[in-house]
Amino acid sequence: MYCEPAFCVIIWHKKNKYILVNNMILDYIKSVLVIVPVYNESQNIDFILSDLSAVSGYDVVYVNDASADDSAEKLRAMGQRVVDLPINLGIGGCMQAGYKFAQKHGYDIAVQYDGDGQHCASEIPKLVKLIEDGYDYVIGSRFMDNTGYRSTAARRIGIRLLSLMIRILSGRYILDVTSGFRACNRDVINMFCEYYPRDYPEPEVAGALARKGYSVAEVSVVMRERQGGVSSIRVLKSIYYMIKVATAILFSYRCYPKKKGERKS
Amino acid sequence: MMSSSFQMILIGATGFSLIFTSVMIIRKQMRIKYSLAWFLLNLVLVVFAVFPGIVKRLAELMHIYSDTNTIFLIMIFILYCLCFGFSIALSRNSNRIADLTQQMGILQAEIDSLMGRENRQNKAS
Repeated sequence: MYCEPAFCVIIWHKKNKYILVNNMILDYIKSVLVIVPVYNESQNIDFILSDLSAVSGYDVVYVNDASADDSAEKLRAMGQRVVDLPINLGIGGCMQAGYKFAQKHGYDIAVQYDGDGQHCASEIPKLVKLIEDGYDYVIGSRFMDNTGYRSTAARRIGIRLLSLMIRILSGRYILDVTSGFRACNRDVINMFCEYYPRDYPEPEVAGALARKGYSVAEVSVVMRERQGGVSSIRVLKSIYYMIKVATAILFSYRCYPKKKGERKS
Repeated sequence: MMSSSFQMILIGATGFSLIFTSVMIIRKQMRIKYSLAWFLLNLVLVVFAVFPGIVKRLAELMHIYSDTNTIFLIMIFILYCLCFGFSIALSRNSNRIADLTQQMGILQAEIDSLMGRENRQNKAS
């Protein structure tokens, strides 16, 4: 049997990789950007860098939300890409800057990886895999299996309530609505560049995407206990948090366009 | 009925407010656009103070017992509208500031990477 000798070429066009065999596109490797929001994480930076260096193939951008400490200088000294915000915008504005960076540089997938060291870089491929499988938005969940993550009873009840609210409104069951460990595809990146909530964005965005018919998946991940710093949700703020987030889930889905094409369950 | 002393208070307060607004405009600390609302408010107050008959008629129309209460109600309504407008203006400005901040950060990152490339080339040559 005669077989024409095949030649394989890998082309990098902007951020996208194409594998060509005999001048036909055989495969297309999606480019992934890991966005790390950083706020006063100076003591965590070495840990984050070593954690992220364990996984290869992903570009990383750090978004410094006007830290008071030397987080940005430290990162720059280590040759990392830093989007340095001159004014503190909160986690939402910080993440939106990351999504805008991803959009401008043509990335296919954006992953949120918090700078406080809670998330494990080794779990990122799990999220990316699901996006490559066709999901629009993937949430890394602490509660799906017994991953040994501990939290207070009050916080668990709050998360349950928000989860129930999203379930009633959208029909989708999302367990860990407050998890910040997320990945999204290019459609969602473009939408986030248009609108992303400024404070406490996680449950709001998950609810809004589910209500608008985007396919939201949840995958079980292991998370570490907080390495340092304090949670953004303090006891006194928790009532405000619940009211604000509940109101946001009720209304803000209208900021996003409906999913085009058929719904994927 | 409005007492004459109440009328004088209204006119005095309005005069003070007018002077203050004008000074702020001259010092360029208030945009003309936003001062218009305050001028309108003052105008309404002066008209009420000079022609109490209008207030009396309005009170009868709205079935409010006292003329002064009518003035309070109308002023509160106007202030409510103003505050609502300011909330909208504030939110819009906050969005614009966030957008500018983000663009600045991204541009800074791009400049950094360009400068880094240039430095590497200089070292190589």
